[in-house]
Amino acid sequence: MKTSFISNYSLSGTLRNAVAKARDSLADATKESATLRHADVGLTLGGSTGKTVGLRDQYNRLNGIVDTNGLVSSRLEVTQKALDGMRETAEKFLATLISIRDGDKGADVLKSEAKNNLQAMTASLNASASGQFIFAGINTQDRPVTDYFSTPAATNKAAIDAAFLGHFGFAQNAPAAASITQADMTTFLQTVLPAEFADPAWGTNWSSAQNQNMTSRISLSEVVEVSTNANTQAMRDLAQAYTMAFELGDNLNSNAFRAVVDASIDSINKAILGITATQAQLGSTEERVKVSSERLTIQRDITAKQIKAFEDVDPYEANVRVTDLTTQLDTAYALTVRIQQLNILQYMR
Amino acid sequence: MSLSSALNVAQSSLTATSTQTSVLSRNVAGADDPNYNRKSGTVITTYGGAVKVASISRAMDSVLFAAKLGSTATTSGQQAIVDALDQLEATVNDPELDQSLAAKLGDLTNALQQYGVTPDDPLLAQNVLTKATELARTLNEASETVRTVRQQADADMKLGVDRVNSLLAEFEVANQAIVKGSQSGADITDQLDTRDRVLSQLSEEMGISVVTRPNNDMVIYTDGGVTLFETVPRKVSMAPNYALGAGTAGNAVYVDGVPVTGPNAIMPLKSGQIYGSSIVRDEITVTYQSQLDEIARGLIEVFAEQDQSGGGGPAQAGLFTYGAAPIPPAVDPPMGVPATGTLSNGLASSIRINQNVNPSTGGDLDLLRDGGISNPADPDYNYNASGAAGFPDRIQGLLTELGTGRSFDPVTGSDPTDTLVGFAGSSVGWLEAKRQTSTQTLGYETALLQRTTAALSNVTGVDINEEMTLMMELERSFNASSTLITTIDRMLAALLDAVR
Repeated sequence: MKTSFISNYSLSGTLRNAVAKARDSLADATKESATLRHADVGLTLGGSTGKTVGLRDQYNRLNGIVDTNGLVSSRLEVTQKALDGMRETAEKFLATLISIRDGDKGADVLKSEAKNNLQAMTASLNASASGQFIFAGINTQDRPVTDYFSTPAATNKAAIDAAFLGHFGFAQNAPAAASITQADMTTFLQTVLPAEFADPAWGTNWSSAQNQNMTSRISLSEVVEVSTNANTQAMRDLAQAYTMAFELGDNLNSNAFRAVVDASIDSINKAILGITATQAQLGSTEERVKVSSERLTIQRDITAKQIKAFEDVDPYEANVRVTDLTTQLDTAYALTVRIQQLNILQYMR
Repeated sequence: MSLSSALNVAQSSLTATSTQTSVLSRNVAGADDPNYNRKSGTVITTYGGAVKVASISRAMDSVLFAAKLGSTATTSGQQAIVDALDQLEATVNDPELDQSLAAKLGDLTNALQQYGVTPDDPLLAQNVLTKATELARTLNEASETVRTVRQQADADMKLGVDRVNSLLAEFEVANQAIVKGSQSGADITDQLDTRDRVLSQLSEEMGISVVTRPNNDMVIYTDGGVTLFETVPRKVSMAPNYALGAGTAGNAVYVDGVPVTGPNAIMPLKSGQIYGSSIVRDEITVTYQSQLDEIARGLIEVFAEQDQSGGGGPAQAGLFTYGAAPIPPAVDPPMGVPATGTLSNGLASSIRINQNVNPSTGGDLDLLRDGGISNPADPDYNYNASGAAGFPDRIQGLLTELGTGRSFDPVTGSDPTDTLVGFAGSSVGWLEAKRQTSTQTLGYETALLQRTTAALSNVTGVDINEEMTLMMELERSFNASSTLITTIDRMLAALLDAVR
């Protein structure tokens, strides 16, 4: 007959199980109070783990776009600076041209200034930022504009010379040039010379840039053009204005020279307007990139908060749990000792 | 009533007390054995007032014991499932560590984003290639993990089946002894302990129910109702499959010729380690593998290259391809893109980076920007006709594809229309949800098992304090009987002295 309803095995087993369970929980609670995140995020969140994985992915993605936007902004800034320089030079050149036309300055001033400006323009268009030629369109690894003044004579210089020779039958510096009439010169300036700055001559002689501009993803869904290139009409006009001023100013009679100056004024005016338009367009892109980065940063911070809301534990609760569990274990150990002492054998001597 | 009769009674008391003491010491010896049931001698009064121990009885509670068997089976089944899920969770790990497929996919997307801004930078192209390699490797490894877990489950089932067979053989011996002993009235309590221990062990492997027939003969059924033991053990068998690849079905477990696991089971097992392992092998790992395969397929689809010539040629696998890699410098052959929205078994283990783009295998990194990875010699698949170093369209196109929803096979049990990274995330959600539910269930089941075991042990186990108290009682009884004998002896001596 059994009179008691307790056995040694279950008594020690109960204590053992309680202690093991408390120790497990204590390990988790200690980790949680140290890291302030769930000890096993997957186990605690279950199906929602997919969400935090998604949020973390979104966070990294937004961060990545904000980073690349920084790069895009700095490139746009370099481009704007270069365009600024070109526009200012062009405006000064325009002033020179007007004063020459009004007779305040001589042709010799014009030639040297045109040369300097054409060189400066070539240098600006060939500028690079972090290894990319910024005016090359997508052809970023090739220097876009041919140097007009290189020796031996560059293709663009040779083509202009050939065009002149073809039209008039003698070279620019030939004495016969003085006999060119205003009408002849106007015909040359209006029909022959522009062809040198239009496709396909421009692409073969002047520029290796591509018409397609660089694009960049500035938010999750927006892809925008973030560069301009050396093939825009403004650049062609600018090159044309400088080239004719440089090449044709030498020994013309005053009427023909006036036609050159007028044509140059016309081209440089168009170029200034064109550059301003390009700058406005790039400026609006800069603004879009900036706004997008700001928006993405806000989104990213919200995502970070959401991740924390999912994965983090309440630090107060974590600490309280550690304390509670420590007390519980203390009690369990003390009880084990006491219960071991509670044995009839102690009293049977 | 005579002195000799008194002497007889006192002497019978000594014998009965000794027998009870021996039972008591058996109890003390078995105090710490969880399978030991407390024994007690049943004392009866016979003719003339003498006492004797008629039989040894055994404390038992068949209701609690049946509950313990059920609880053991459920717990060990659940344990097998939780163990497997914990192993599978290694493919996800803590989201903070960014080790999951979704995170690796995000890394690749970000590498592409950087490359898209500066497509002429070979370092950034190398970075894209590195991230892509990492992603393909992670998929291969995840697929290998799933295969290992599945193979392990298959091996566990086989081990379980072997153990059931050997336990049944042991059970047969104990059961025969019990039936024989019951007929002859011998002390069968130790054999009963053995038989109950075997049943406890059996329930770890598969859920069982028992019926006791006359002479303590026992019949065992599985929890699905198939006879496991009746007089003789029934054959339990399973042919292990050592090559369980994706899409290969494992073999069923047969009890007495009836399949008890798998889709063809008429009377399926409902608990036990074999049941848990079969769920792991036939359901969990199969679904998870299909999710990995679909991620791999989606990846191939996203990076696929279209015919740019307008000739309408088929799409070809681009950066990510599959199948055996040729030995460099051989060109990686063009591979078709698997049909969309349809599971393609084993793709996660065979997905790899196309060698045509990897400089270390004689490939060209620029193909990442230009396209034509599938076949560098075929100009139809080249996106960058001008050959410009800053060509961004292909990369932007890939980024758009990565952000576009696509369709996945619904057998995966995850979101069938989502972006690739969204699908990978929902796969993580699926796994962790299963793990959470299973672990919680295991927690309840374990608690229940502990309670049931404690309750059963309280009824059937030994309390040393009680035994010691009883021993004092027996000691007193022994002392009293001995004193009686001495006294009767003195009385007889006095009588004989008077007669002399």
